[in-house]
Amino acid sequence: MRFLLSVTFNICVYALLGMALNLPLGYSGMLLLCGASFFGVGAYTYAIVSYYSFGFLEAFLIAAFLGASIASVIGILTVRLRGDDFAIATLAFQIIVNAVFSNWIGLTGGPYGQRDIPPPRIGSWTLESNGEYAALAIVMVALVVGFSAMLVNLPYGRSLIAVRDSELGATTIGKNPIYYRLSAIIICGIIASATGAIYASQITYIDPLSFGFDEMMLILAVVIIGGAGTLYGPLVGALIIAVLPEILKSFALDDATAGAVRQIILGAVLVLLMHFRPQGIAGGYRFSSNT
Amino acid sequence: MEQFLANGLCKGAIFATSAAGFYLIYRTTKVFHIAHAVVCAAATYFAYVCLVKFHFPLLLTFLATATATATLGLLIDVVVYRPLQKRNASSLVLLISSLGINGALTNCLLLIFGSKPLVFHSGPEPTIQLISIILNQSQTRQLLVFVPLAAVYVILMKAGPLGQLCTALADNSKLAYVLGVNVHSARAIIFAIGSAIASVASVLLALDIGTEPHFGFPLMLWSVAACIIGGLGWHWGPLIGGIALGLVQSLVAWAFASEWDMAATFILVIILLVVRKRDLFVIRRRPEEA
Repeated sequence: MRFLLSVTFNICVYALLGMALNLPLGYSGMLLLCGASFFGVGAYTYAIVSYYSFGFLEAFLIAAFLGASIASVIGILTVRLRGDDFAIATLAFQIIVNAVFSNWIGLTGGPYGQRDIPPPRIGSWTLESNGEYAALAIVMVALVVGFSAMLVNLPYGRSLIAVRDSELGATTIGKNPIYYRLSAIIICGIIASATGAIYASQITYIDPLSFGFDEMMLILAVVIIGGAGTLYGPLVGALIIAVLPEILKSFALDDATAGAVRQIILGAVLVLLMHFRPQGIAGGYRFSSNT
Repeated sequence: MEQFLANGLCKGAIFATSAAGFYLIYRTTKVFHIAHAVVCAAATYFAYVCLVKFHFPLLLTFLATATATATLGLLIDVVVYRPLQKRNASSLVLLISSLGINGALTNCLLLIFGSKPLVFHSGPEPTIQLISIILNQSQTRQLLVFVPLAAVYVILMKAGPLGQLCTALADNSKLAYVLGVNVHSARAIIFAIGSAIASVASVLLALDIGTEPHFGFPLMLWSVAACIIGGLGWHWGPLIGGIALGLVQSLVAWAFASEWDMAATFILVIILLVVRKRDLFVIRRRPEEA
């Protein structure tokens, strides 16, 4: 049961990250390669802030706020770039953030990371068991699904898709593409860093490797396998990504081998999907427009 | 200071060579070839097997590695990119498949050879002293190989058919096709040559610092950075960008600390991308070419 609950927690974390990345990638067609850095900023902020005896809610909000600020900075810088340029610039940002995590030892602990991150404490109630964490994560997922559903069905979501599919067309009817793209990146930053805060509180130990390029590949795979630009695609993708290593481990593979085999399978699946079904399982955006 | 600049020059030689390979592929085929990273890493493992396991002489190792790497690059193009390109896939689709193939192959290397770093030699290397600069054997080798290789590259691009082919495919591959260029085999050849050039750079670097499964990723990123710094519009771009990048990194190491070289490089890349939209050296074009 404990095992099932911790897998549930993992599924929820990937679902949240997938839904965060889905806004820029699926709904506005930008290949944002720094999602893992937003996630890391949230986790590190939570770890460092809660060290100074802030409560859970304060730490959580500060993490989300910092995620939003970082996302706005990178968003304002890169939002006018197109295609490959946008991907390179955001990848560059991911590397810079990771360099800060591993080299600014005074703040982040460098390669040793942050230990003994306190669990969430709301009033006199402290989250301890796996069940409570899973419940917290499920509540978060429900909130974010509801929020995304609302966004997508509002005029905002339709304009986002319009900008993705035809920037010229959207501009002609008075939609500002820069505004829609930028806001998608910022919302992604908020959700991803809030997820990072919850992740840090559950795992109690973080290091720069948890937020590196491999993590980015996993988040990307969640969105693309599930189906970019659909509401439930990231949930499907997260289920696959989080359950896959457990299945591999049941074949008597150790953790490191299971991780490597998972990356091999996901890489191959990404290539095959791009060949045969770019819209993913749930059938969303086909990455066809060249923005 | 002179020592830092000399080290930077050696690093720059590596970046320039690897960037030339990346540039050839990216400019000609418009594929943002992230799998360049795993091609580089595979080259170093192949060289390790040749040198350490079978005790090949160094020159033969370079030749064998270049051949093997060229084959790998060609296979990636034929198996992964060509079917997509035939279907007019967007650059996003190509980039995602490139990420996928890179992840899959890197972890194959990790499974086969383990995650432990491999070194090619033990103990300190013999050094050479020129006035006040001390270079070790690997660094000397890097400089000595770079000069003729760069010369061959420039001659090929400027005087030989390769440069014309590259420019033709980059500017308008449909027109090239109409005019009788076999676009598919030309692309495959470009992938092979680009990978072979990059293999030389990666083996030179691995002889110095050793290798591990993720060896290629920073090298690929530096190649991209070198291309952006030097500019993608002309054939000299990757060479000049690579050398400049090496010098910038050694200056950062001199002024701050060497672990910030990655961050400094990519801050520079973001600034360049944002400010100039493309590259440092803007190539003047006639209005109808834009």
